[in-house]
Amino acid sequence: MTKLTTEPIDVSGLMAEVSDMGHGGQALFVGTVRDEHEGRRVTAVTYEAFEPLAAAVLSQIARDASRAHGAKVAVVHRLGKLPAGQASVAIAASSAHRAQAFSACRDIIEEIKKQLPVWKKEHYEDGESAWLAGCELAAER
Amino acid sequence: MTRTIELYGRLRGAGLGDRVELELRAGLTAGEALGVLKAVFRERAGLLEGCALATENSVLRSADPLPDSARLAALPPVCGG
Repeated sequence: MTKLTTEPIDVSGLMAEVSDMGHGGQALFVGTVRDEHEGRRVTAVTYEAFEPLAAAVLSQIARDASRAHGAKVAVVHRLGKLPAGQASVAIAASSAHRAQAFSACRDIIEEIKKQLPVWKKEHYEDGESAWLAGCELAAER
Repeated sequence: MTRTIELYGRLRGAGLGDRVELELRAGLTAGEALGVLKAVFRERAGLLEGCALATENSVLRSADPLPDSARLAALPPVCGG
């Protein structure tokens, strides 16, 4: 299960998505909006996506991690303006043993950083805002 | 042919809104289309450094032919998570 949403992330619901009696390990990664960046006080971050491609890429990232680690995975990424402290992304994974679940979560967040067409605009307490730098997209073949 | 290119992230800071319409001749590659877009951005063309064109399904390489009918977007470097 993967989803882009403007609603707050239901972490318990995400864990339920990967629940499996045959899986002895469950891992959860939650990324949140930091209230500081390079010495500036951050009040909120706006997340924007090219949604059709982002949905396809997120689904592919999850499939790849699931296959590579034999894990069940579920991923939700927020869009819209989030105040500092709110969850922007959550990844749940379960597997027979803990190592695969941890690895699946790690792989997914790293690939999100590299591949997902999402952009962040930070809003600062002085009223200014700025788009953050990122990773150049590379076409897959 | 007139094509609409959607703009995302920092590209919306160019003062052109969230999309631009370009006259693109048939047979252009994605890289050539980006060149046309840079001309439209004029003094703000630096914002397009590191950007890629994409459809709803894939990121285009510079040498890829521009699809005839797909939705097109110019995507700056990404920073999800």
